[in-house]
Amino acid sequence: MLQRIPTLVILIVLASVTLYLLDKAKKGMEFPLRRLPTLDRMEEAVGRCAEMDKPLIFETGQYSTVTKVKETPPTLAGLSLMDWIASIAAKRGVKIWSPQSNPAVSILADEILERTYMEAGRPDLYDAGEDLPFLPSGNLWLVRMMTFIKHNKPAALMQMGTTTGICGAWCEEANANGAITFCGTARASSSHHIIFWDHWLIGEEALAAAAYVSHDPTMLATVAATDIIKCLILGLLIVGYLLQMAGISIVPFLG
Amino acid sequence: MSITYRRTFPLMVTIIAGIIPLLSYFIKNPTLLAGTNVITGLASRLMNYAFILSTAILIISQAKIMIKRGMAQESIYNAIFLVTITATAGSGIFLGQASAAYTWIINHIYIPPGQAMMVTMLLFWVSGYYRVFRIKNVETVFTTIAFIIVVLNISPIGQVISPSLPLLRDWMTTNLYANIKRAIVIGAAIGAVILSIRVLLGMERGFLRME
Repeated sequence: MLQRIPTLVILIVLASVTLYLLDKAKKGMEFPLRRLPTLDRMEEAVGRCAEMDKPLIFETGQYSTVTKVKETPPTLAGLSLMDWIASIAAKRGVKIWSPQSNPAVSILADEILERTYMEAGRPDLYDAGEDLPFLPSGNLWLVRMMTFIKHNKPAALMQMGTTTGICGAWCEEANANGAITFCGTARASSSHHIIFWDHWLIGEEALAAAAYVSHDPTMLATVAATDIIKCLILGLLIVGYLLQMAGISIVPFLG
Repeated sequence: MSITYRRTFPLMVTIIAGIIPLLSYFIKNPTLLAGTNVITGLASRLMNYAFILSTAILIISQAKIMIKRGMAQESIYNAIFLVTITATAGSGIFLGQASAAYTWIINHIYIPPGQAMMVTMLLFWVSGYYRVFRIKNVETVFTTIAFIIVVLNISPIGQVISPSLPLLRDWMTTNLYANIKRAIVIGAAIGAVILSIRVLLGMERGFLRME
């Protein structure tokens, strides 16, 4: 129990900073943030799809899920970005396909696309089930994605969520078919796979992207909180380094 | 009803399902622990139902596509899919996963094409690396130099060129790669915590399509 106290302290600090900035945002404080270039390119890619009259593929990765600790945050962030891209696509008459490897995520993605196209008055661009393939993760999904890209020739491929090595294969397939490719991942173990993709969001960028695009001051406040916490952690690292140099270890106090 | 169904109910479920396991992590209480077990068990069952539902949608959609296409050549793929999924699921459900029929399907039909596909994937990787390592800007110069050092180090010729290459590779692995990876992990962990706070406060609602 005592070993979890440092975790509790860190969590309280994180939550306190976030709630403080949320309060400030509600009182009218603004948080100017640097716009991520990848998000601009994503918006342009939807326009490219409209000009070329080709579809867009948006998926959340091979290991996307809503029940695992590590994979759930990137999956939810990916779905939130999909909501944003789908609203732009619906206005411009671009069709989105969202093949998924996880049944629960498949249903969420289906719901997002259905409501977005219905609200935009473009039900013709949405085909439930028929164009939203679900296949279990693994080699079957790899084959299906490759053939799906080859047959439909999308103008853009976006994978925001859990990137893995096999995703490089269909990124290459999409590239060979003239698609512009986007990747977003918070998985450190597979972060090097992003080199296959044209544009990417990495680490906390992928998790904060939905807040960036929302233009909601309270959402932006949470992104600002992330930066402040990073500065605090950097300070802690420097202090820890200096104490270690002086022969005092802080590791036992961190649990 | 609509707003309650679409907004309030999913948010309440999200908050309750998030807060109880969080509290049980810090407070050793039998009630909280029981609540956490109920939530995780329920999530697991829901996933299983979602899997069955999605598989049913997949089968129905493939059957619809096959009927729409009629006797077109492409229908053969839908037919093969329907036959294989029926045979695999049927043998697994009715004969058991240890049965000879099910084992034969897995060992002789499922695994070999899967392995072949994994090998084919390497070709795509090579093609991807070729595209990536074309020197276009300053970043790709550094990437390519690092790539050459690592490749030479694991090749026999690397030892012949210079015995200090492994030292350079080790320095890159322990000082550059490991630290960059740690930085990504720290950033992603903070981002995940903040995203979780947003979800628990009901701010991150894009995945529920509420806006």
